[in-house]
Amino acid sequence: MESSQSITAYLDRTLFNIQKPGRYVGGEFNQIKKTWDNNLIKIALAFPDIYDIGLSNLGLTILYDIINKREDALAERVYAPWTDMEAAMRKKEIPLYSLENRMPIKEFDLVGFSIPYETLYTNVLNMLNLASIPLRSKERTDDDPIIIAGGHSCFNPEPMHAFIDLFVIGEGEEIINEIIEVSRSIKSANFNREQKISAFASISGIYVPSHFTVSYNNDNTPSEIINYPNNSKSQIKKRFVKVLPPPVTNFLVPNISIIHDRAAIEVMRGCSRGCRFCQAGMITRPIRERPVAEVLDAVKSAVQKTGFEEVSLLSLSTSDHSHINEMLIGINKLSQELRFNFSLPSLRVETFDDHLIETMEGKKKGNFTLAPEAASEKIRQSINKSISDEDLFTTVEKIFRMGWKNLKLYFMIGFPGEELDDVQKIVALCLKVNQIGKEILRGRAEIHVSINTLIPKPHTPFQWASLDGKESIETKYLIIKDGLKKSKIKVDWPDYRNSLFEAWFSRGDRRLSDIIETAWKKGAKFDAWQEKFNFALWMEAFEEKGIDPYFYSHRQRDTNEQLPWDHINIGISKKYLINEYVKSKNFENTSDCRFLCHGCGIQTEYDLNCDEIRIQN
Amino acid sequence: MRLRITFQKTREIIYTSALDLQKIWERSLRRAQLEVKYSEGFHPLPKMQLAVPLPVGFKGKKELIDIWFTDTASKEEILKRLQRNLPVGIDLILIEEIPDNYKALNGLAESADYEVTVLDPEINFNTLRTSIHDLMKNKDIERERNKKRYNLRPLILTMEVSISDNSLSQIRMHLLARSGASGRPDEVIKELGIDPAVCEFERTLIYFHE
Repeated sequence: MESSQSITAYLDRTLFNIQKPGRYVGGEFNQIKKTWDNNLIKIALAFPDIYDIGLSNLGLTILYDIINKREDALAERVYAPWTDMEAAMRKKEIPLYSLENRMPIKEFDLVGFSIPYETLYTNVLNMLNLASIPLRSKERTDDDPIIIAGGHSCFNPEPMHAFIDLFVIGEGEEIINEIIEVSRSIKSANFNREQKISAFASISGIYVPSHFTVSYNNDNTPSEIINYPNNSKSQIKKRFVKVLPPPVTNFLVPNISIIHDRAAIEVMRGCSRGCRFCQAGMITRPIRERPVAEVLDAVKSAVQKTGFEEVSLLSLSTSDHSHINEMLIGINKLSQELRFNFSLPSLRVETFDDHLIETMEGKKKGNFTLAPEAASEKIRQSINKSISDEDLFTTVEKIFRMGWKNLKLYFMIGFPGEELDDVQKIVALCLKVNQIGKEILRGRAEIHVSINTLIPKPHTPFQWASLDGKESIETKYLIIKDGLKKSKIKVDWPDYRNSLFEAWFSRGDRRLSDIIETAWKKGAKFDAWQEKFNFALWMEAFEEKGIDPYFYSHRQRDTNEQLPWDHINIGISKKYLINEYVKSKNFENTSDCRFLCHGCGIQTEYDLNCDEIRIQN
Repeated sequence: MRLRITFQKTREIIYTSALDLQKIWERSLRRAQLEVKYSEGFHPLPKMQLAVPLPVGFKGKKELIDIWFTDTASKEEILKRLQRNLPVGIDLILIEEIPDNYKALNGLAESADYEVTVLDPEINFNTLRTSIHDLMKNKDIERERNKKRYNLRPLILTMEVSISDNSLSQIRMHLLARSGASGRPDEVIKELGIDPAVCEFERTLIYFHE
């Protein structure tokens, strides 16, 4: 076995020739390094992309804090090595190791992967392989760690079912302590692997894919999903914290530059708007707001404990917090006192009042981002994101007058029922915004338009819809590109191949585990990186396994069809999703559920009152 | 109050570049809640100057930074509070007040001493001594770095090799460190036919001209 010392000795002789070696050594301020003690439950927290992206992951930050606060457990971090480091490690047979104690990942009791999106799947396999842990759950022995995964992509766990022993469905902070308790009991009980996994299966919200069998119809749609130890069709019900615990403030402060190099304070979880394309808005219900005093304390404490010069306030729709003005006034005051900048990434157009803008007075003006998503009234109703052009233009005017010069506008194309005329309206809207910019800032306004393709996601009203076709998307994109050609507006849009990938795997089933493994064996990894994504490899993998990928992306599903993720219960009823889907086809709006409950199911499923849960004091 | 701080750079932090190190100091000052002079503008930064950049992967024995404090705390108190808030691997050695109008630290460097330990025990001491001797006899050593050709030889002032306590070869070199004429010890090592990855580099002293 490789020891911590031999890994360190190896690093001392290798890192000189590695790009950004600071990724591989740890030692950040606020790092928690406990003594490696046999009695502790040892958990490796893994992010399947490089350090620069993984370090700031808020989910893992929260778990790192909770686990290390316990006396009976330790958490250490591991990220995917970039290709140069991977090659160096493979050459010398250095196993994947943790940053704190530099211990091989195989020596941990549990390895917890955070998998927020599908393009990280091959990196999970690559990391298991670098750790010398068998890829498939059923090939692992009693000595291998238990492999756990959580995060938004795990709300459809099926494509990764073969590789993950346990999925956490829901919020990690609610379930982590129970996982540690079970780990302790099985450590002393001398269980074999199967017994261990069964012990975890008793925790509510833990999904053990090997305890379920799926049978298929002739047309390849699932016919039945059975929980075979019980021979029942039981569902795994999402777990969540009823009251948000106080936010983590002792963030790791990186010694090298990373992507989100700042403190992140979550001000609210969940969203009441019910945009029909938005998976996060469905799976993070019910809405929970943090009290203003708690947010302010956290911001202050984070700046003092980390020295970060920037704080980001996170939520799906920050301006929907019931005390947003009070919060911003408080943060603004703090920011002058303690000299830091703050950013509010998710502001909605219509909630953007003068008050909110005033708190930005005298601040550095970076990019301002607005996401109208659609430009025609019809599509706005259909996707349930209804804003008025008038509100949008007034907001844009204010933004330019306050001194922002760079405006970024997000739109989506490919919605069901979308026509070319709806796309044409995006052009008209952008030109109008450009006109406003010209009038206020003369030539200095820079407008950037970002076009995304709708990827229908599980647990949303669009989960039955087909991905828009390649030609249709290209035609729509050309309308926008040509329409904006004469203006100075910059436009970007995703490669359709990336959209296909996301569409295949987000609504995939168990058969895709073979595809992921085959593609990885052919060399697929870092699929989220444009320069590394190799579409041809994936097509080869589908061809070899005789699976038609378009079955997953380009098929209008019947609402009676058994969906691969039907056994994952997020608390939102199918009846509600179907109703929303029908309303979308009829271009009908559903109002903000803070003011009128539309019976999505979360209240009855969990026997709770959303109003009581939402505002917590 | 302009304070000159002498510090050591070891352990994990050696993999932090000179540019990123600037940020480490800024954040440590903020954590220590020490008042410093700030630059003007929308994005004010604490006023500080680091001496000649230390390459990534190098230890530093006596590195220097000047920081302009406005804090009322004593030098000793500043040292104590700052040390508590620095990441592992930065150890403060000395703190002294210098005149505010003293020349900028980054323009003053003249040369530097380096100690290079060859971790690979396969590399023979006697052979190494001969190659160093031969290398020093040359008038010109043409090398290419970042697609630019340059002469390495005039940048090497002195060089000698000895055996360390754990019987590894240790090369001491004194190289020019002027802006625009600065020698890199890893370039010298490559010229000697050794992979810099198997060496431990330490800058032991920076010389300044008065």
